[in-house]
Amino acid sequence: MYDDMIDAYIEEVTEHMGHGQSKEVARELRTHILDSADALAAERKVPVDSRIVGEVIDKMGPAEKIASMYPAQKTILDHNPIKALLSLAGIAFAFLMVLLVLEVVAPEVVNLAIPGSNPPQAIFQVILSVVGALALAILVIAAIFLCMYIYESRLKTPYEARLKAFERGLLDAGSPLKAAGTIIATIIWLVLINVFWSRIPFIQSFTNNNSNAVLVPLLSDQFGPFLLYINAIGIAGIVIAVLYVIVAQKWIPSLLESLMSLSSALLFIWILAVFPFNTGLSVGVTALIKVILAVVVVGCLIGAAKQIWQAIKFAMYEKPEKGNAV
Amino acid sequence: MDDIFERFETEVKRGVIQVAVMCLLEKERYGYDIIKSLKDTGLGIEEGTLYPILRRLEDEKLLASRWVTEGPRPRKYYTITAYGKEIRGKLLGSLKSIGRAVDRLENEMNGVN
Repeated sequence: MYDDMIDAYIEEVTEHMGHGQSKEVARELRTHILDSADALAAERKVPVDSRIVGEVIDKMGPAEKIASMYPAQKTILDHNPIKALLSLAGIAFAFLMVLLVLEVVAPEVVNLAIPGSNPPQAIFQVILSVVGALALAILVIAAIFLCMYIYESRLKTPYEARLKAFERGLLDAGSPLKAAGTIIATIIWLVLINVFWSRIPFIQSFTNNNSNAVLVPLLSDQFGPFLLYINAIGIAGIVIAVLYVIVAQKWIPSLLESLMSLSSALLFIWILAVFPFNTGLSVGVTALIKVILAVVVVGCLIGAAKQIWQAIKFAMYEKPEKGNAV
Repeated sequence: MDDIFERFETEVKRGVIQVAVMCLLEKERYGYDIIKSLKDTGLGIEEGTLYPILRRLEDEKLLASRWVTEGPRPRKYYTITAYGKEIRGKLLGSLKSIGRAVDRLENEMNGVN
């Protein structure tokens, strides 16, 4: 009878709610619908039937609208102590990941299991590294939260619309603004690396006992052959940026971009294998740069996967972009 | 034109209803009872929309509630908290000052015309 109508309405309202909230909301709405139906039936001096219940449900408003007005239910993850624990676990995980990468690319720095080393000293060094890394991670996270707070509390409302429009412009694959930015940035770094690569200075050691830090060239002549490939990738990037603007089938530049990211990943793996170009760099500095190179390789691979997915989406749902597309 | 009016009225009412509910809950009441009182004061709303408002106010600790299971049906009774009273005072002050500003603007407008 009319119970089915009530159930269907309540189910629609509570469809996406958690179990606890859904049970309570269902109980409250059912009571209201029955109270209201009783009152309407008494007013008309008729028994409660499907027509009366249907009328009451109409007065309740669309189920979707009511559902969307409920505040999101707080889960256990929203409680502060759990959040704090999760954050600490995240920091510990991040530290372990760094340690793992270091172990792979520069085992001599981690020094966790060198046969014959003094165990207490090794453990002490590890503890010092852990505390230092945790302190650094906490500082970085605090800075991120501070930026988010300032954005949320001060800038979000007045500038939200403008920021969204700007973001849309940058995300739009065929945006001339984005293409221009990419081309200018590529030309600048190509010029810089071609002209100044042999003169890039880098600190020799972070733990130098001398009070004055010693700067040495980061790259040697061994790096020369890599320039050709770097230039090729840069030029390919410029061509792809132009293709995004002038070609209507966006999957073509997107696929080329993913190939370019894969080539970049291979190039960085090659550089990582040859590094260091200057043997004057200390073990710690070499390890740091190797970690950065490893992160860049991972970034290139993630970028390639993202661009392949984007190319598939373009191929499936492609519609000609507005503006300059032909 | 009707759409514009309806949208505008809904936006204005949304805030006013929250204050009205907080005023009504000086005394403990349940949902259906609140809707009847709102209608009596000329603030009719789509009945289902009251419950999300009550839930939101409760989440913000402005209202407290308890289930009463005696009687033919279980009912959730709401009442305003001390914190809710403090906020209600501020909201009423704000609404009154908005009302006065609108009055002044209307008077000015009529004077110009």
